[in-house]
Amino acid sequence: MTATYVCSPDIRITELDGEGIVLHLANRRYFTVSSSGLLILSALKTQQTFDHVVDILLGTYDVNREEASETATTFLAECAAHGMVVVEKHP
Amino acid sequence: MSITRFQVNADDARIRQTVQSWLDGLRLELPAPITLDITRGFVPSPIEAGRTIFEQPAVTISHGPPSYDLRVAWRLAPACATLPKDSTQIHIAISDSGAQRLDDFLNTFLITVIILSLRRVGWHHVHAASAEDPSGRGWLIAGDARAGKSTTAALMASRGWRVGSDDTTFLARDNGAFCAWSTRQPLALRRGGHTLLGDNQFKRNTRRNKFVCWPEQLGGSWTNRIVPDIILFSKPGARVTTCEPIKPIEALAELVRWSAWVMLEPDLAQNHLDLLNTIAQRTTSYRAQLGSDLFQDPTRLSAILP
Repeated sequence: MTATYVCSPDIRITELDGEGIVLHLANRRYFTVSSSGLLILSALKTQQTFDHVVDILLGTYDVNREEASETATTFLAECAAHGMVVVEKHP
Repeated sequence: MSITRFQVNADDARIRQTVQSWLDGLRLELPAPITLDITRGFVPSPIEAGRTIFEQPAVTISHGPPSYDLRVAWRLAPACATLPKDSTQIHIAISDSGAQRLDDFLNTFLITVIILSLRRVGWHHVHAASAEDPSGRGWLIAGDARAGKSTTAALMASRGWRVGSDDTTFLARDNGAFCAWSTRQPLALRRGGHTLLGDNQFKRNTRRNKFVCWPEQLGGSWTNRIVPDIILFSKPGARVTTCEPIKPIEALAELVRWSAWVMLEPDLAQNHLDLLNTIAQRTTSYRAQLGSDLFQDPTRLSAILP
């Protein structure tokens, strides 16, 4: 089983000084995200696998795969919990 | 140069005159025409209005299939407005009982319809006072209903500042930059601020349970437009006024908070959010505690900024 991730159509994103503000229009909540979070959400405008998200972090930051995986896992779980990211499971 | 104002069409002459006069009194110079078509009589049931997406005092905003037009329902008497997604032609139905309460209709229902219709021409409401100091710097003071916006605006007027609004301001793009537009409405203070100001120019407004006064009566003047340079996100209650600078990203989060309509209507949200971003980047913002020391020396406000 693999999973793919994509931004919810209910979110709007704006970038400022490397950080971001994300609006969730359906929940009427807003979030501040770090530069790595912003990078991930920008990539998730189209559907991506977890491994691709990790690769994007590896290509941008001076981190090893384990650190990048941990960052991606934590951020994607939080985004999914707040409805900012839609997770689709594929057999 | 001709000024574009709201156009009101109504089958009831008294309603048309009252609404047109109230709108003209706000002195909004619109970037594009907005038309209100008002019919008196049948008002569609709120049940037909779809999912509630926002509530204001006395007003419910909803939308739903098939058109996803925005619907604004008045809860004090039957009245309802329909705002099509891509149009500035607004349809309003008001019942006979609603027509008997036109003052409430204007100040609780129609003001919400106006705020939503202005989004369609790129003007985005922010809960903020606006003013321009004698050196030409534009100020916004954003915060909740007890943040001290009106009292501070009155203090600014008493020192000869140009004051736009004490509460209702519209942010807009302007030839590659941005500005803040104001409605022409009197400053309205609660008893505490009015008493501290000690000015006998104020008149009691029983409907709002406030004391009202025009900036000119305090020694200032009114302006319909400022270019914001400084934004204060304010809280009242301190004895000594303090201002702490905040980062642009923090200012943006605060602007989102006080321009909450950004969450409505997905088609308009990104433009609204991007405008707030531009303003957060190009202004200097502070978290301010507005203190009673301002009553002794209102000029302290500009003096304490780093």
